[in-house]
Amino acid sequence: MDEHILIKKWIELIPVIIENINNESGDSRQLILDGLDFIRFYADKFHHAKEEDILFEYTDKNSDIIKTILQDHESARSHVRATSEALKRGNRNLIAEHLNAYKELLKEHIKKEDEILYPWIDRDLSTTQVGELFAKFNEAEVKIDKETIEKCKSFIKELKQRIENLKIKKEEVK
Amino acid sequence: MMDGCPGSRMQDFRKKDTEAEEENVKRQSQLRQWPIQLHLVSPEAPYYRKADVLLSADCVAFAIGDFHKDYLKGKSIAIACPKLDEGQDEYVEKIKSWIDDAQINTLTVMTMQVPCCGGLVAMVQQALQSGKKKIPVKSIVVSLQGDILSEEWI
Repeated sequence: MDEHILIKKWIELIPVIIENINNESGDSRQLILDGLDFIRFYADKFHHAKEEDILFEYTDKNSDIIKTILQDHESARSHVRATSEALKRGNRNLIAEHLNAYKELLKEHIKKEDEILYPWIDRDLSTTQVGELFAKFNEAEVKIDKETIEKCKSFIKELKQRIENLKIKKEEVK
Repeated sequence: MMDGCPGSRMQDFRKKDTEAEEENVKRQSQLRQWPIQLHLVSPEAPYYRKADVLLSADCVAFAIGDFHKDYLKGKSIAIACPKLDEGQDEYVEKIKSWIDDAQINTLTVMTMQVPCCGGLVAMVQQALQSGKKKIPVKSIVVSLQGDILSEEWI
């Protein structure tokens, strides 16, 4: 799915975000808050919901691969909640731990989906079902809040620069 | 064997006759409409509405032994020859109308391996680019002896 492109860009930058976490900096805190919003809306509400509400309806939900993917989605949500809690408490180590766990989970998850899940589903879909899925995905994309999608895209576009700014500020403090 | 355009170069496949198994089964036609030639069909005909449509180059059905069973079944069809047919701008308009007005579910384009057949896929891509809607389009390329050389969503 196309959403994987932006999600991958986000998780690739998580290590450098972790390196630059600074409890004293409002910019650092805001960057993580925006990252969590990106995950909640783009990766979860938009992308995972497309899978769970539409795509998986065409599969055997009792199959091991679907159960694994759904479990991954739950684990990802739990890491987001834990990061958010750690951020409220200003616990740098816990923020780093959960963001890192999220990154590792999503990296493997996307690989699983791209290399195993989607080709597996694709093999069993009839031409008619491919058309139905395409139409349902389009419908979901039309219904979703466009402004927030654009905000998510801008977040990823500006992410590298925001991280650079954090690095500069960190150096200045030293 | 003669040289020249690959689409019209003479080739003889007769040795296949001796290898083919004798079949005594009468197969049912899977054709569910008339007419089928792209100039003659109306894109708004009821059998195209929300249908899975097969746009086939003229020669395909003669090359594939099980064309009806494996490719035509469950689909509405139109046929065309991108090498010889005139008025191909109308073809693009009709394909566009399938997508935008008849809201077809999918479009499968079947062509022969000869280079001139690629024009049919190009027409579909042109219609898709200028149309309002997007739909899944599959391209299937068939060899002169009816083997499937490629089958992919484009």
